[in-house]
Amino acid sequence: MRPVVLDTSVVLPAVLSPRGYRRRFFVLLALGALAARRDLAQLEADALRVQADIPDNESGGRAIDTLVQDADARYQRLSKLMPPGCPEHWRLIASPPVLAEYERKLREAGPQLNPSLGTHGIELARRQIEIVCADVIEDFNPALIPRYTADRKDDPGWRKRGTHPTYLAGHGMVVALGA
Amino acid sequence: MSTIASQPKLLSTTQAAGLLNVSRRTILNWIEAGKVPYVRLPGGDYRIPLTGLLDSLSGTYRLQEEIRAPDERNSALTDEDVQAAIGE
Repeated sequence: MRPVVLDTSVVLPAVLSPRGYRRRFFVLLALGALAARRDLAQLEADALRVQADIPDNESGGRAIDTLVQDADARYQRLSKLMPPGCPEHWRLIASPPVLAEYERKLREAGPQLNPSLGTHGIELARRQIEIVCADVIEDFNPALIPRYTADRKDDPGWRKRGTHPTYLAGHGMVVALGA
Repeated sequence: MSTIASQPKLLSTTQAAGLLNVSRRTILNWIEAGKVPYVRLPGGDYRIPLTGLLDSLSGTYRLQEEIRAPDERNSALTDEDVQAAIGE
């Protein structure tokens, strides 16, 4: 997986003007989101089977394999439209504060571009970006993010905590994690 | 809670209800009706896969049409128009 962090300066042109390289990148992120959804469906199906195999546990309800197949079919439908060798591992990561900033910019710039955009149009545009997000991390307090310094020892980096990939900053402070 | 996480999540009925903003009783009704995949634990609690829960939802929501609407509205815009409007 290659996480891509939502940057409103790039995403706004990609969403608002349906052409150009930025738009193509947007579609690439949609492919990554579908691949992430497919992979996660498979992982959860495996986790469900592990639970179901425990004595006295009992599985039921809708067939999980059908849902996994449906997730793969959605990915395949878009994948077939993409150029050969197109990467599927670019996955957009967003957070509630970034999505709120995106919506604010949309409200400011949208009416200049199209006076008829309106509240509904802005909601649609925000939903477009949420759809291509592979992950929306839990809300967090921006004040907890350590300040950037020139000290390389406190540079943020990807780490593992147990079996979970965790994004750590200096002083062991967790910024975001997908566990 | 993340809508989609990079790690598998098996939700309790309370977590599933909170995610969808419905009552726990509603989730239990869906389980009893076989609408969502689940595992029943010996104590009577349930675990529901997050993607299985979301993919089991249905409605009149038409994603393709919804995406097409803003695209058609903005079809004449160029990247330059957008960048000028957002001041970057």
